[in-house]
Amino acid sequence: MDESEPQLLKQGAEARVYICKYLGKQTIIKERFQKKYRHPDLDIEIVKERIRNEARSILRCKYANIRTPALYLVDFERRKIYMEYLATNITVKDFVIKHGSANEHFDTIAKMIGQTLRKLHDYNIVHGDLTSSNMLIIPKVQNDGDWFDPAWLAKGQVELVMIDFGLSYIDASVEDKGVDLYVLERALLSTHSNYENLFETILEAYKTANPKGGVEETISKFEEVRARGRKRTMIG
Amino acid sequence: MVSTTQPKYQIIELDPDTNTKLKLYLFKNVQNVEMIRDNIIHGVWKCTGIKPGLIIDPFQVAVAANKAVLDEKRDAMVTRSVYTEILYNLSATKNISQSLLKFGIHKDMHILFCFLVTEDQDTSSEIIPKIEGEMCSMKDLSKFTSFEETKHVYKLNHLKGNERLLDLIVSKMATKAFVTH
Repeated sequence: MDESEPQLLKQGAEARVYICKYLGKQTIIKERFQKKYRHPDLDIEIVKERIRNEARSILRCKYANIRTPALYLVDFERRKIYMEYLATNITVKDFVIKHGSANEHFDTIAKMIGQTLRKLHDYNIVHGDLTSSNMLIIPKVQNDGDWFDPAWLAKGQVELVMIDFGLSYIDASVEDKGVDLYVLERALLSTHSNYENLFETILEAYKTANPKGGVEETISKFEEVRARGRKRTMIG
Repeated sequence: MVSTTQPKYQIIELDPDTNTKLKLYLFKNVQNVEMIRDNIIHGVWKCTGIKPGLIIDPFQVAVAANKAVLDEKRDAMVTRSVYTEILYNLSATKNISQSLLKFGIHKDMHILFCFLVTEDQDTSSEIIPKIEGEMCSMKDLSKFTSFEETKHVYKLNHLKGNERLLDLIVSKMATKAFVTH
């Protein structure tokens, strides 16, 4: 296999994700393709804005001490972001499906997620698409293989990596943070319907992660959103 | 001393559309810095010299050089030559003169030389013999790195440890066109 030829990894509604050898390293290339139904000029502006937002959020996470892929090149002309590929990883989704809640590390993961989301929101980063597929568990020291050993969890040798900031933006509003949490709850309910306590554990860790507090407003917003659904009612 | 036949330079392939490779040489105790600097500044020598103190990994230079060759191809450079563009891209700020001052060489004894080589052009074979200094292996680069100074230049003084330093540096470099660092 020629490593310098891009291999398609994922195809989404907005973008294609490739893996390719670039600058001597295995690299993830995220390409936002053209939407034919948009006017070309508008399409370029929208794509530029989204690429900018994505890169900004990824960088801001680093300041918040949240692990995100390193950025190698932001290329507006080719509509691509080139970033670090973390070879040894398992998505939270696959981890939960594979190991289940009986796994002793289930709680550890849930707490890590809650703490990370709190850091994210404390830095006013709204992810916009929180799902268990957009969170990776990686060993702190990358090994050569692509296997993942759950035993690393016990030793605290893993980190949570947040990915896919394609819908993210910087905003301080409690409404948007509340919606962010609600989106995650809905996603977990549909992907991991058999583990009801997963989200509750995450939320508990989210609440207690920062001793400085200041989370009550977001939580009450979240509960409000949960009661009414994601969309704000337009009646009255 | 027995001379080793192993090449001491490092080559990194840049964006495939540019058909260009980055070739890096590390020298210590260079005696003719003034002459080198003159030749680089006046564009006589097609290369650039970087302060190795601010480079924690050759990949850092690769990210800067890659953007430089792409922007040269697209006529989108900020500075006058692709070699000054590398120095500019290494910096996290948009201040051109400051970037060149910080990363370029002055009276430095130790120099990291960068060449952009293509199928039909490699100026390093003519220039390298004119360097009066001791060629080092790229593995020795970390011996010249000042983490404290590097963190200061990239405004990362608050960062604990150095594990995530390369990640932060290249990410800052890659986003500086639209993020104020």
